[in-house]
Amino acid sequence: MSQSENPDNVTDVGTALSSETKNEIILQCTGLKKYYPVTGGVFQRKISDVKAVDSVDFRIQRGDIQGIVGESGCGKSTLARVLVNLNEPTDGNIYFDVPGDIADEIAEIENKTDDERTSAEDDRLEELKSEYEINTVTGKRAKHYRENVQFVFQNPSNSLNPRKLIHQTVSQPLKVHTDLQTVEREERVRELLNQVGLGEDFMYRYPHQLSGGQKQRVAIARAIATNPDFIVLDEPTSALDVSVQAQILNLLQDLREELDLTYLFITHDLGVIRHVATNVAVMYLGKVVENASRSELFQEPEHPYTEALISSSPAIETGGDRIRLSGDVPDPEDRPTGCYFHPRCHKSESFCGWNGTDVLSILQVNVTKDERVETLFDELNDTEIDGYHAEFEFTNRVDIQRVKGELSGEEDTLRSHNDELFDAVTDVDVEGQTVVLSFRDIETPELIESESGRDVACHLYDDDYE
Amino acid sequence: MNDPPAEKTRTTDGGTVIRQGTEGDASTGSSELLAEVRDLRLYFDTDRGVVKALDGVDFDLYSGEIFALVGETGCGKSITARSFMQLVPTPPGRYPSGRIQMRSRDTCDACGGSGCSECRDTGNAFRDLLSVTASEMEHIRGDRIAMIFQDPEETLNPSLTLRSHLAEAILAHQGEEVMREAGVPVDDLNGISKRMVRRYASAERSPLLTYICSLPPLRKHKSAIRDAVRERSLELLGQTQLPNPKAALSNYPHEMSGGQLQRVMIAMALAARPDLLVADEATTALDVTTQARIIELVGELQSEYNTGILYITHDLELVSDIADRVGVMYAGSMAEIGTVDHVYNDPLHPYTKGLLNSVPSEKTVGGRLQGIDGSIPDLTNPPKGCRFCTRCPDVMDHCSDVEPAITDEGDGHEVACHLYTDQRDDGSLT
Ligand SMILES: Nc1ncnc2c1ncn2[C@@H]1O[C@H](COP(=O)(O)OP(=O)(O)OP(=O)(O)O)[C@@H](O)[C@H]1O
Ligand code: SF4
Ligand code: SF4
Ligand SMILES: [Mg+2]
Repeated sequence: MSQSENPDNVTDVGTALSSETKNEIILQCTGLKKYYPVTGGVFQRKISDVKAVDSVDFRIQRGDIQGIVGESGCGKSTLARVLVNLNEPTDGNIYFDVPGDIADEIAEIENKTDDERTSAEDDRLEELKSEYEINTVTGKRAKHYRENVQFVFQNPSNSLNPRKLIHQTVSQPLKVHTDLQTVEREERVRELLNQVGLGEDFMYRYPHQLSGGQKQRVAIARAIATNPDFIVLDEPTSALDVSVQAQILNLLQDLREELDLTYLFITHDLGVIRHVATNVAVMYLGKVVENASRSELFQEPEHPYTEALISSSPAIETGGDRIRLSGDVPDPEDRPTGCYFHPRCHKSESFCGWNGTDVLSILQVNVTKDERVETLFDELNDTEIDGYHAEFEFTNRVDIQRVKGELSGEEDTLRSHNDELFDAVTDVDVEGQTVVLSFRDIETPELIESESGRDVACHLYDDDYE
Repeated sequence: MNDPPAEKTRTTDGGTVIRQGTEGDASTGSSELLAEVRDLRLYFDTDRGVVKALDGVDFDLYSGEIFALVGETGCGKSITARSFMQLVPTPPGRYPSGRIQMRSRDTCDACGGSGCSECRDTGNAFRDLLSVTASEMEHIRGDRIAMIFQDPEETLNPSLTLRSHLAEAILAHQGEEVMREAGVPVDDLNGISKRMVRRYASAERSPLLTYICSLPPLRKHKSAIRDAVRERSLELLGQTQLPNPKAALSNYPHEMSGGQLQRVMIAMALAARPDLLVADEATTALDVTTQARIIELVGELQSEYNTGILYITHDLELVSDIADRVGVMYAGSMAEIGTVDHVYNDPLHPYTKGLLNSVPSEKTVGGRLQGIDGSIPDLTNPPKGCRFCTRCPDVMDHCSDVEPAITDEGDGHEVACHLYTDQRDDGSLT
């Protein structure tokens, strides 16, 4: 519904561009990265990076509700903050409000490496960037972007200024982005508060006089004040009770229809995302591992992580057994080699990126259960693991040739705990009391189009791997 | 109200899946009455006035069952649970009325602990947890009731390693067993020595205790005891599938993630083999995949030691997956109690219906949620009569005058709502 069809929106806060035809692609990014430095030592020097968002490709169509789900620490919120320019990306470009054919053109050029691109293509990309890329555009387009993108965050108590009256909070964006006079602004705030179901009684109250649900309504009123096209909702109902959550979800659905909004909806609650989203992206350790329409994703998840996540969520009814993942989400500072999910994956194969860390964790997990493992573990002096190369140094008490057989999976001791891992051993050597193992060198899977036409990052869907 | 729970039934679509260890009927043990809560009222005296946080809560708890308390924020779930362990600060809290009767272990021989009328009369069978002395409670808390909270770091001592925490739990509950394993002639030791031995193994923090325990006749056993305790700790941690249990033993609580600590808490509960486990939002802060593992462990406790579990959560879907029975609380009162099957598939109370209709499900996809209008009442000035009357779609005239009593509608399915109270012939309410 465009502005002209909606005469109820009395106050015109339309933007300079609102009369133009609206473009299909509201947001697009390729290879988006956000790294946070990890510092250590006396001088707090940078020692490594946490790859909070690790090369994410993403496209949101106008009118969609794009969901992002994943466990805590997977990078959902960071991605959202980068997408709406609250944090600058470490790498990658974000394009806002782009016609479909141009979005395709951008993606095509960006998917080429620097060497593959012609200089004409480089020039064209620069041109398109200055037109659509949010960190590059200036003037009118920049204003267009700021007015049209808004956010609502999880904790309504933190996001409202406790010393400001509700009407002050809601009129803030009107002050910044419009030329409305005080009286007109007040009129608009009244209208907005009615629109979110609060009523004008709330204009002269303070946040502490409101319940959690009411505060979230205020945050939503503030977000829609400038008539944006696109709202990022980061866990907007996670702090609320289920009956209040229902009210807020209903409100968001209504507003979307009335105001023609596009949402990016982030949550860890799969029941909520299934209820609201049209498309869902699943993240694991900074990467999108699957991106599909809601029905595809919930009816037939393709990525093993998606499958496990849906299966272990009490919010989703399952007919049979629930898959239970082993282990915890790894430390994002120290991610597994190959596919980041491989140590927990119930479908893993020898081509998933096993390395010495996995051998070590077999030792650690089974040390109390298996005497042979305990002996090995107790005699292990030191380990050195570097990518797909690993060295295990043992005490003089052990017969290193026997240990070599056990550690490389020729013997059953460790292999019985994980066949695929030992199938990935490509070479084994002994130097003194040290066993040196090499593993198949496997790249981290990137999103590829699976047969069903959705995006999946898993080698099972890649013909190059067997 | 004292009937044991009907056969454990579950929602048709949920299945018993999370508790994979237990095939079919999980109630391997007997389900005896473990505790009964009667007319529990808890008021807080605050600047704003008296907060009537609990105003007449009644329910029963059986051994070997998972009884879930659900309801919205501030409805009184946590303070109900904490009342079992005298963990509500008084003041500002006070109990104008109420009892929490827990079956004790030392009942007469005749009934073998099920609590015959004779035991009841002599006060042997059931103890009122609200009126036992602080030192008795200390004992009960360690021995009979274990607890896990949302934030395990809150409960664990930050200056002690996991080794100490586990040693303490093991020695407190399986002390003699472990000492025998270690070759200590337990029967020859007097009480004081026994206590000192126990202390020693858990006392890496206290040089004084170490000194005492280095005295004969205990000195010669200390390393054997230490080894036995360590062995047992590793076994328990192994049971929780904590990665690298050996290294974990020397960790301090802050060095571990929430999910890992919650497993340690459960390992300690496993050591205690309690009669009652109170879990207050124990998995709320955890990811679903970690939550699944914790729930599985709780299930093991339930089936192996016939522990009764009071499970507090606001997560209705989780409850339908794991609980046997459920109590729905609203604004300090109990609205409905029944088996998960009854309450979820045939809810009686309008509040329960509203709550269940608020949950997004397969059927609501893309549509609207029914929800409940309005918001929870202020407990300093709760509505008269039925506390739900300000939001109830079925409200009737007398709802705001007369408080509905909780009544059994059959099979232990109880509800507190005037829609179900019988009208007497003369028109007055029962
Ligand atoms: N120490 C206290 N002083 C005053 N009021 C208190 C105190 N402790 C609890 N209350 C009040 O008692 C009521 C019930 O609290 P309780 O913590 O049991 O709620 P709950 O059901 O566990 O909620 P949640 O789902 O938010 O954990 C609330 O109104 C709370 O404000
Ligand atoms: S590549 Fe696919 S199959 Fe292999 S570990 Fe990753 S998700 Fe599992
Ligand atoms: S007693 Fe009345 S107000 Fe309360 S739940 Fe029943 S019908 Fe509704
Ligand atoms: Mg609580």
